[in-house]
Amino acid sequence: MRNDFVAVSLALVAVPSILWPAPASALSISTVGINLYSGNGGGAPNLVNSDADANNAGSKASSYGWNWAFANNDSNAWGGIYANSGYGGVNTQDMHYYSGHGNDLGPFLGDGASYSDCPNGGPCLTTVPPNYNWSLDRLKWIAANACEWLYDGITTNSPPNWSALSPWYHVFNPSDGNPNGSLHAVLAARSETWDVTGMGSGYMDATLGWQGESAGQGWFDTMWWQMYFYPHSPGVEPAVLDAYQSSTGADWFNESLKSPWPDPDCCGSVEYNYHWDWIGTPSF
Amino acid sequence: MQRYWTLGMVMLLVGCQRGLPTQGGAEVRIPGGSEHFAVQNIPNTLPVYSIPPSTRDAGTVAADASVFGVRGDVQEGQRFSSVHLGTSWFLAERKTGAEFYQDRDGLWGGMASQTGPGPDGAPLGPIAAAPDLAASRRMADAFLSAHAPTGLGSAVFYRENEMGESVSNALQPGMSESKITCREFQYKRSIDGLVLHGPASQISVFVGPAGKIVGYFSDWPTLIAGGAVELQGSSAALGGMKARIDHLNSLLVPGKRILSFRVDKVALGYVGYLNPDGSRDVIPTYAVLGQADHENGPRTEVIYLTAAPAAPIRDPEPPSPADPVQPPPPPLAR
Repeated sequence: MRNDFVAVSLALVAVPSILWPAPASALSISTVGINLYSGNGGGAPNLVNSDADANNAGSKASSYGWNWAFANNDSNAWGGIYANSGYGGVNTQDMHYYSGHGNDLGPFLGDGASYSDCPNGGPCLTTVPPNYNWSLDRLKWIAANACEWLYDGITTNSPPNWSALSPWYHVFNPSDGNPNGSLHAVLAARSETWDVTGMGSGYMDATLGWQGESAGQGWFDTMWWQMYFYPHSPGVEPAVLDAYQSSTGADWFNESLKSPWPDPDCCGSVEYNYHWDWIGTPSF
Repeated sequence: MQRYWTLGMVMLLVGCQRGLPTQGGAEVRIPGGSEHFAVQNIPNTLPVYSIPPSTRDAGTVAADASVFGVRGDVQEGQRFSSVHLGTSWFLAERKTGAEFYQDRDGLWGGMASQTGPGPDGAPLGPIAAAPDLAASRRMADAFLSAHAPTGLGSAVFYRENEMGESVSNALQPGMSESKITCREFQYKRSIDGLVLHGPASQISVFVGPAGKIVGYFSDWPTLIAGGAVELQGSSAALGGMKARIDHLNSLLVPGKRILSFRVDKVALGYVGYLNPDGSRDVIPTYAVLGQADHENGPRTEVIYLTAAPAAPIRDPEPPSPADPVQPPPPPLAR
């Protein structure tokens, strides 16, 4: 645990804490959805609703004035969208929404050629947390309707195993020296999730629409509705790993997507909070 | 009992590829033999029931929504009729007539629309908690009594679920804050003492902060009695247990198949099935509660067996975007 303490007590470069201006231009979203895993080497069963879920997320965000920058589905979803070291993929937009299979390493894109991490003999871009440089540019929120991104080996309603989560700290780490951005939150699940069409669009309604919920609370409430209440699954455990600043008590879980807070490296040391919402009887 | 719902969805789980089933299929253990679990005093016959697709009109939806204080125009969507008011909404599924109500502002103690002021301001106050279990149960029971479902059968308490929100900080990994923000009380339909499992048999009342009813779900359509079917004894039904589990295993991906099953209890009941057109069928069943040793761990689970050969147990319908209520969709796990 002491190692965790060192790892998460990143003393980031402080800049004067001033009133944060409203975004000058519309926020933007990118989406990836994968239904078809068979025929591409498999590795997981096909899904029914992921493509629609991702597209619904982008479409709904657009209806609230966001720019839907790019949408990759099935054959053009590959590891480089997530595991990159440049300014492509998820980093160029404010939010990324993924719908498909997942595990505690992040998105599972399939074992086959079309979803390969190493397409066309190019560099291998394995989707594992150490390869996720998500604090390079604009990306503030990455949201996943996928199983167990934030699974930490705990299958009860108990505090997290921070050691198991520690590989994910990297996604917040702006140690590249670029001051332009750092991730606010990973909105995902600790448990298995369910194949539904309305998670992404429901989240946009919850945060950008008439409900006006915070980034984290909207994620929890939408998952309650979409994956438990509405389809009558046995349960689900949404989880959010987000930036936290103990000096001010600011918890990026509570920010508004309508008027985002400054990036967490704005104004002092950044720590991490893990929020989880135990609903019914989740499966793992 | 916590896993009761899984009996209808065990074959829909997709899981990790952690192993292969044993040769020869699953092992079934019936301590004391089938006669030990013989269900006594079963009738010679039981009726089957059918449920037509819903014909609920906008006026009925508006009236049902008003029970929760949700008043407004009824919006007719492809799948739902809905009424919104503030941070509350009421939905009625057009195909089945199932009703949903959710009050997010009530759920969060009036804070659903609150966002923090950011690094320059004070954090939000604490999340409100639901009353304790006993008090919440009384509130749910009282609500149900005041809004008793009509039609065949009575609502019997089934189980309680919690929604608990928690937070832990990486700098203090041994500490966390937790609140049970909402308690759900599930009721099922009992027909002459026989519990109906699956579709057409659930009411859930969600009790939030200050005892406010913050959520409600009802799938309680009118049952139309059909012909009577002759029952077989539970011992004979248990003779098909291994074949049933092997069949379920054939539909499961490796990693979550059932390696062995130990029978703990057998009860006569009913089970419902949703048809693609929205109609539903209800047939007698033997519900077998036991310990299932899956490739990914043990679970308490229920397996349905055929009680009336003329109305055999079916497989759950595959998930479809057009059938969101039942059965549950598959999880997204690898």
